Amino acid sequence: MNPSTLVRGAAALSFLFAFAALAGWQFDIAFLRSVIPGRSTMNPTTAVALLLLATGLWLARRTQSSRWALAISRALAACVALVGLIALAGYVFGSDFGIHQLFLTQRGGATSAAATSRVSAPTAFSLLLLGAALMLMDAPVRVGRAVAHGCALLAAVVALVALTGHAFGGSFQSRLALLRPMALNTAAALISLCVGVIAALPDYGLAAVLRSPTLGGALLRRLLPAVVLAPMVLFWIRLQGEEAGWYDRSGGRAVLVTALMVVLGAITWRAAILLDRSDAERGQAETALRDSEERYRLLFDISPEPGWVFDLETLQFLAVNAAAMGRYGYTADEFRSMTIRDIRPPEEIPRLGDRVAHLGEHPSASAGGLWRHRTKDGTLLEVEITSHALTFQGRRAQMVLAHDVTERRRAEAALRASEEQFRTLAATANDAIISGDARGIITYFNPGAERMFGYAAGDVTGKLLAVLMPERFREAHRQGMERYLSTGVARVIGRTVELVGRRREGTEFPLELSLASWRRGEEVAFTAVIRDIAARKEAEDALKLYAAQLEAANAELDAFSYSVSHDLRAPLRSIDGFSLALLEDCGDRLDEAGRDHLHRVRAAAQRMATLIDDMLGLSRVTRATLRREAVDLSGVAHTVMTELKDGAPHRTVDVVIAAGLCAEGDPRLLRVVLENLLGNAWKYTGRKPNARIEFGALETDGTRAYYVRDDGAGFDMAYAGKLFGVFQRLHSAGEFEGTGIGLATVQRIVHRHGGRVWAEGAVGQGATFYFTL
Amino acid sequence: MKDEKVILLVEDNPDDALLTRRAFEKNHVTNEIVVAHDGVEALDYLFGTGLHAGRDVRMMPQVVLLDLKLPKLDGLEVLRRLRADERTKLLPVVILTSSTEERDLLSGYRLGANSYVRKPVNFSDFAEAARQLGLYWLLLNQPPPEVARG
Repeated sequence: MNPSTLVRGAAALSFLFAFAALAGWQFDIAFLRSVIPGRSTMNPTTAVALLLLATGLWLARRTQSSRWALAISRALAACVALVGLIALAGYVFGSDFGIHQLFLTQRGGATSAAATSRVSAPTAFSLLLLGAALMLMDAPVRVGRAVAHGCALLAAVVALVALTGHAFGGSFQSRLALLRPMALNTAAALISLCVGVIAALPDYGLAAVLRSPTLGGALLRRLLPAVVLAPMVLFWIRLQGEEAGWYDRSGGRAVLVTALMVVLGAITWRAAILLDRSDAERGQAETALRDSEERYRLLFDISPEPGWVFDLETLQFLAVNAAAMGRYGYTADEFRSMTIRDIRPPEEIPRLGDRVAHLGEHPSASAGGLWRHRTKDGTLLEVEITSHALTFQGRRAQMVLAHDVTERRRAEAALRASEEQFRTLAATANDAIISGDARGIITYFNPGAERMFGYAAGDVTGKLLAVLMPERFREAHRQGMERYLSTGVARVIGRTVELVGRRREGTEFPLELSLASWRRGEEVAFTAVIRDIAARKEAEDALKLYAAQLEAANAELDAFSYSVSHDLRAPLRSIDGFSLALLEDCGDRLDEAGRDHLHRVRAAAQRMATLIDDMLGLSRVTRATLRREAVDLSGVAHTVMTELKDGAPHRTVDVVIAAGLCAEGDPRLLRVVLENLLGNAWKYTGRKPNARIEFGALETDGTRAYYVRDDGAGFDMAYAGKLFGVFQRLHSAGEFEGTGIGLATVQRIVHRHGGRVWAEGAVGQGATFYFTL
Repeated sequence: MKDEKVILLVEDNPDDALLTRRAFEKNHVTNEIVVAHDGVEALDYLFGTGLHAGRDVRMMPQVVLLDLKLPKLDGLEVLRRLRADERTKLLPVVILTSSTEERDLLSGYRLGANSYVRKPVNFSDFAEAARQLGLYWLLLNQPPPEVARG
């Protein structure tokens, strides 16, 4: 029940009594004045005072008590206290300040009653007490409440005396005027007000204990009625027994005392039982708590994860397990002298503050999360925390288990970095990288692919791979996929193939595709790296075209030179033949000059034929396909020299050919080279009686160079640059015959073998021609 | 030098024909020299068709001097046809050409030529070659028996 309601109820009851009494005085109804006729009456002054007190109490405990209500209530209380004080003073000083007659009116037959009605001393006292109580009960100081409470209790006792007196029929005659009895209704009203005041202080004193859920409160609630009623009941029994003659007065006293002893004993016994039970329950609860704590402690201590308990208010470590000591490097004593702030790096402290505050507000919450801690030697750890609230050694505490995830986090970060790297690789690659799953659906489409095919990744992931290829290939693709998935046999996997792709706008283009396949658990996935080779294809096609054109050109050249050689020679033959015929048939008719002319004609024709042959030879050298074989250069040199010697047996030439010289090249062309070089050497030593021709090899710049040396006519080094030109000669035809093609041919052949050719010489001292292959 | 042995010269160039005849004469080869100016004429003569219709084809020349570069029918083609026909299969054929191309050499022998002689530009050399040819093919060489030629 709401205490305020009780208060107002009590006030209302008191008000009723007082009002009824006043009505009784006004309308002369004896019953209302004294309840039991013949007993003392409630004096009107008393009634008014009670009214005032009731009103004051009501005002003090309205649902919305404002300051003016409290002020009025205090004022009323003060008036009432004053009234009481005056009345008491009357008794003390023997004079009657007329207070008793204050509200009496002169009415008929009530005068006698009126004359005798006075505010009795106890009533006055009680009014004084209650007035004081009402004034002080809302005082801001604790003393005020204590006084109010005490006054109310005292007043209640006084009224209770009167009430009991009335209950046992006594009119309560006493010699002391001070103890003149108060009326029944007065007593009832006063008790009601006392109850109200006590209830108006619900968290203090009697009311507090009565309302308390503790054992004490329960005890009081149960025992108070018994304590109040038992004596009255027993006394009533004694009186009835005495009147019924069961026992006389002394017997009655004995019975009463014995009965009181029994009842009090019973009450005490019951109280003891209640206390014992509660004690036992508390003991059990404590044992259970200890067991639970013990369990926690055990789990806590043996846990491989670091864990500790810290006080929620001071943040100090209360307990710490072995794992924590090992991990963080502090001893148990060190821990107990630290707070949880000390194991964190400075930047975490604000967040810690927030968390602790949160825990303070929600004590039963289990918290968790990722935190950074610092060990004794400064190492930073990342830990995953689980914590629970508990009561530890009577304090509000939090138990924490810290799971070290530093390694895991590092691995995760490394994995993320690696993934990032590969993602960036794929994202920035120029080639298209496309991944698909076993159903042929695109799962990854990199920016390179977006550029190549013209789709945005978002448009095309989730679609079939087939959309990227022309219609006519889709069936083959599907079959290929099926075959691979069912048999594991792959035609295309792991190889690079050329296919045709289809861009978004429908154009087709050639592409190069490398396909890889990998398993992820049960799933199969494919990744293709694709390169647009349209440009390359074009270049290849162009190249093929050029090659074909070159072939054609070569063939034409072939045919041309073939026919040219034949057609050019025929007229030459005629020129020469008929010149000779002329000489033979008509020579005698010609003079010396005439014959000379014809000789020159013949020589010229001859020369031309040689030129044609040489030129043909030169062009053939350029066109012929190069064979690469091991060629015995020494042997070829021997053969060539033998031929030369056979052609001019009269000459004596010292020939030195280094043995065992081999090279890789085309045998026919290399023979041509040696024929030319040795032939030149032979020719240009023609004037020398004893010539020397050498063929050998030497090392220069790390490569082997072959040389043909002669000690013949030599040449002027100033013109060395012209040596290898076509038709270039450094000697006139009169000195040495020749067309000037020989060295050009040699150069061409050597160049085709990837080598170089050069010469040294001096006029009259011979020449040396070098070549590499 | 026997007279009834005929030499068939297949040569389109009149200068060359004249020079060849002169070369033989200079070297006292007095056999009749029949000149065919192209491949068709050569075949006509040998088989008695066309221009030479009515010739007695039993009278085969002793030797055929065949130039390769001929109008209408090429020298090698003539050779092929000659060798394809029973009557001329064994007929001695000397390819007389100015070509130095290796493939002509190869083709000539492959098709069954008996000899390959290069025509030199120098007439003196040419005359010498003619003398040697005449000496060899007309005197030294044993022709296939008449029965086969029949």
